[in-house]
Amino acid sequence: MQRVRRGDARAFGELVDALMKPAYFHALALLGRHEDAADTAQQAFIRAWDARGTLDPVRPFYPWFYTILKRLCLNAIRDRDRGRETVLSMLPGWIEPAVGEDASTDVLRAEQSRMLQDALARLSADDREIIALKDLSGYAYREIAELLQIPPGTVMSRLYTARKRLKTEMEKAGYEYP
Amino acid sequence: MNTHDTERIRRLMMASIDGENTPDGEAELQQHLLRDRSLAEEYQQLKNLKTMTSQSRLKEPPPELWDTWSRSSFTKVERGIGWILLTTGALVLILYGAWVALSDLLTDPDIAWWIRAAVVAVTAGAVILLVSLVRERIYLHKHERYKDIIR
Repeated sequence: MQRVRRGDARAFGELVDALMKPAYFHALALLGRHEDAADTAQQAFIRAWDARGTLDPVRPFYPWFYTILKRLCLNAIRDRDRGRETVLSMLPGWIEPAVGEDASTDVLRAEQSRMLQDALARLSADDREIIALKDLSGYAYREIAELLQIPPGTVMSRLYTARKRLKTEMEKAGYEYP
Repeated sequence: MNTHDTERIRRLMMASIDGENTPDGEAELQQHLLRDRSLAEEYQQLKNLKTMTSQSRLKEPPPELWDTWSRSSFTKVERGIGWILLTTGALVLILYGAWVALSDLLTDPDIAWWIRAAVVAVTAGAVILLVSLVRERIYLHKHERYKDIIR
């Protein structure tokens, strides 16, 4: 971190290599579109490099970077809304079923993934973010708390609210509980 | 049940569903679920929902994305610098050209006074319109009430 702060491009390049995948997936969860996610994540690294002077070397890099990434994603969503493009007009297929064991459940899982994707697209970016971090990416509460810089209790409260809204959207779409 | 209790039970439900509850927290939650039928139903539905969401994941991008990541980041920076230089240079040249053209026009004794007056009027009008437009954009950006609302 010290090297990055001093302007060592090689050290920053190593950070980019290590973090490009989580950055891409976090942007994808918020933006729901491959091209936008890749573009915004790259843009966030460029901004982070420009702002390296404000980086605190004793604190972890990623939560600091994540605030830049999230701000850029929210700006992109706002610009998209201004262009009268809604989240529902996002290209299909940003969520897929996890690897299945047999063909009969694969069809069901594919249908559920499609319903889930549509329901998530109707949620706010904050709700989508917390569900994606916990359920789609599998982070622990402690990790989410560190990333979003909020207490673990708030993570649970936000998760409860987001899941309730997701439940409502899934029910509207005709989801039936097993 | 007060607001504090409700909030605590919600957190216990989440921790239980996500497998992050403590043994004491789990025992406490089970007592609440036994006492409150609607709470137990909500818990079960949220648990089913969690099972369903956990069976999905964010889609992997094309593998070439990772191979070209650094190169395309570099290209973005390169193009950004290129655009800044091009725009700044073009703006300086346009302003300089306009200044030279105006000076020549206004100091040329062969051009009738009313033509010079018209040129001054056009220039002044254009500047006023530009300033007004820029001011309006800045004002709107600062005072737009719904700019941070995500729909």
